[in-house]
Amino acid sequence: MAPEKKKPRLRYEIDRCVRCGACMAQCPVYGATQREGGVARGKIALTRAEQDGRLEAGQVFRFHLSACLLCGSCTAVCPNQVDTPFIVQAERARLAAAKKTGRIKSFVLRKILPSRRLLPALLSGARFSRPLWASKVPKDSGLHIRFLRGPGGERHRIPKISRPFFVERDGSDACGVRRAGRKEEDPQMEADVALFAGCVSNYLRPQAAGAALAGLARLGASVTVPTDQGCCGLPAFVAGETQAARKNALRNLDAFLPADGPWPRYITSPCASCVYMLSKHMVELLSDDAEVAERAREFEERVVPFSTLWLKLRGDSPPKTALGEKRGPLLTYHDPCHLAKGLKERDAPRKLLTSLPNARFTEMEDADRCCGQGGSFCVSHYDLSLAIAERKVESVLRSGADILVTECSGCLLQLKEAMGRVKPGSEVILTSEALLRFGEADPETD
Amino acid sequence: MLDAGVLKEIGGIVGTQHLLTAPEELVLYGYDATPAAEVVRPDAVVHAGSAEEIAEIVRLANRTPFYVIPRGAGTGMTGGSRPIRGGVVISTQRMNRILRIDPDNLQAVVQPGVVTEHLQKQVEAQGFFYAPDPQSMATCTIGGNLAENAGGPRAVKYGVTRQSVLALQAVLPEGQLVRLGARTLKSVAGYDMLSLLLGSEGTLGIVTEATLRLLPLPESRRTLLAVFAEVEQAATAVGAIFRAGVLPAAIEFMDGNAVRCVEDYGEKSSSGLPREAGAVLIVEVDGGAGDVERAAAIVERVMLEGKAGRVKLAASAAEAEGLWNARRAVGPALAKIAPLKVNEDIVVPLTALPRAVAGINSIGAEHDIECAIFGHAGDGNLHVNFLANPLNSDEVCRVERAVTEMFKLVVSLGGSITGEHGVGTTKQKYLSLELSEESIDAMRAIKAALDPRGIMNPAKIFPERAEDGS
Repeated sequence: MAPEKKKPRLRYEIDRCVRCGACMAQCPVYGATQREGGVARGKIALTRAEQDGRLEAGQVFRFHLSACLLCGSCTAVCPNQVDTPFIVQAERARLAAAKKTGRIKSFVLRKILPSRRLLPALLSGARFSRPLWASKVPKDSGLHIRFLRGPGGERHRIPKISRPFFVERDGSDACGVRRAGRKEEDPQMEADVALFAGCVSNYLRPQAAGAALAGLARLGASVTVPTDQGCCGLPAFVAGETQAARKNALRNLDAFLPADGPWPRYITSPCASCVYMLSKHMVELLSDDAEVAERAREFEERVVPFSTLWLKLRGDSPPKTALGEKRGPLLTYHDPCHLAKGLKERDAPRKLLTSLPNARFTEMEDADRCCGQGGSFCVSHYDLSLAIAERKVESVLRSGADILVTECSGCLLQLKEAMGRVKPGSEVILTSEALLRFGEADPETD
Repeated sequence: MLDAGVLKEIGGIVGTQHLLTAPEELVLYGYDATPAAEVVRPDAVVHAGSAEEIAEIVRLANRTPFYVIPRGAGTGMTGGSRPIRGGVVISTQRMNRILRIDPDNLQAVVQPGVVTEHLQKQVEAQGFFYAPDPQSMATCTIGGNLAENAGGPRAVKYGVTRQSVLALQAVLPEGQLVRLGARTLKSVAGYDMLSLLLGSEGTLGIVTEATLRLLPLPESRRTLLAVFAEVEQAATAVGAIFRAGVLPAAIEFMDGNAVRCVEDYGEKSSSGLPREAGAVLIVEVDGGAGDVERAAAIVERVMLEGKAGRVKLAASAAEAEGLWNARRAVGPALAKIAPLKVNEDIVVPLTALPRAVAGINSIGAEHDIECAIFGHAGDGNLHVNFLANPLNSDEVCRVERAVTEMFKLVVSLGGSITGEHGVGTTKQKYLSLELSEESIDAMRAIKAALDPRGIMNPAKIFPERAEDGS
């Protein structure tokens, strides 16, 4: 390892692939296409050839590079743990820097997503005139990219926008921070959590963020919602739009860890993909300025997945309800790739769900198999994405569960659509929502 | 280069969406799992959908002419599917249906693109068992297994792929679509063409359908670990198991270097293998519950009599899995410490195992090359890994000399230069160490008779001769 370290990271990762093909067993894209261009080994071979000057980054090259969910399933089974998501992202960034990505997509990622005004404006307009929205918003859009376009865009259901947005809900106090929870006046409070809503929770599904807030407050935590927060930056980052991602990162850093304090002890989000972005790439994006980099490091250290934080605050104590046969709907859980593979957290969500007194839990087959969402993948590769989701839907149906639970808003939207095609009206919710609906009743309000 | 007219004809046969010609796609099908092999681009790639399509392309290849290179999942280790002279890669990955599972006749009929482990899971769900278990079974396909006559740990009891094939449908090199073998447990009608095709590395035909033999799924299995101070003690103990009347489903061997590698560098190991071991054996017995307990007890006794310092019978399926994970972690762990890992899959008669292991270690020492040996000791098949830094050209040369000497040793012990990986391109230069000129010529004569224009998977197996050339 030591002699290899001198290489740039991209080259280092590429060179560790020995082309054994183990990634073929788990890659969702390969599973659906059976084509070498789908799988990690193939994408690495292409990147290597391009970097060595033996191959032009042509249309097919960019297609294969874009047809990656960045789910990390390949890394999880790779004998050498080659970080293919990193390779794909880095190569996308190289191409983007050389202005080789689509102009429209680029515009959305660079201008709209980092902006606090444009995105809400676009989304709220859409609430009143979705068809107009669909026709007006650029074909390749960023996060809400999900609902608008691509080869299958017209077949997408466009989710309803929920106004007011979560972060502006209930108003904010003078210092731009809203507080919830019972111990807010107690300076000695054990827990102090800042909640990051994430775009889906903020604009489309405020109940998920609200549930997270309530769930943590019930455990006695003081929860704040910094109003200056924005998009986590993951859509831009994975598309190789590093500058746009940096803007997002800086804004969130200042919102959550203002240079003049106070800083929360934990930062969490109902969405694990946001958590992944906020805990894995802040330092990387903000390394230029020493003061900022140091704060970014502090930031990353405070970020915890929602169910992990729940478990931490609650402890491993058994539920307070009476023993005996549990009642209520049967839940099953889908592992988001960013949580299970990216952050290696598989236990906490399951502990959360199995602790719920008013619901039962069953494990489905291949619970950690990628749902096929993959950010803008589900739009730019609509049919492929749904083909991948079909396997997941089969697992869910076989499990016999009434409600599907996950902890990533990307997975949530994907699974809602895929499940809806087979079983209209089937419910998909986040762990935070499950906690609120099926959890122990609030001791003080009862 | 193929001209546009020919490509158009191929597109007409398979459908243009299944014909790939973009430079990117040619890179993607220009390699397999062969270590350190260059990418060599074919002229085109087709994902065939049926036996008839393949037959038509092969007939076109004879008329035109152009080379055809059969390809499964591309997990071969010796370059069997590399298109080293260009031509059209014919992938069978799209033909991935299990056509029939027929437990009453103990057989399954499958297309060549079925992934081996997928078939295993399907038949196991019905209480049956498809025995061949190559290391790459989670990804490799039946078609590739047939072409390479793949084997795995279970070969000691259940044989290699050959022993699990009853009949084939295949396209021969001139485009004839034929059926070989019979869908019965016995058949001696005519030449044993199955054996000829299996392991022919895609040089004599492309399998388009296979009737595979199933067995009832063993009711129970037990796994045990035996630790030896000396490598030779472990090698000797293998024979003792058979003499005691037990035929295990697997007898896997790891020498001390392999053990330490896994313990130091393995990802998921923490199996608690003893670092000070000279060698370990992992023995698995399967069968009826009572038989298995008895067999495990016998193996335990034999291991202790064979001077095993410690024998540990896995108490649960999870413990057994831990032992197997340690074994599976060897290859990846070795890859981590040495950028260049020359893995040769030699095989020797069981009685020669102790001498082979001792001899290989002294060859390694003589050339000052680190080496780790592990593998399927039950059938005498060892994976010998010489470890080197590819940037150190002196070291690379010494590895090459050590490999040649090892093959000579293996052949002198009555063994073979390849038990599983095949000859492909990487072992051609060693073939004559094992086979006489006459027997290689006889093989060439068969190849020439079946493939007079030499269009099918050229430049494989046989060393190039002056008159070959492209």
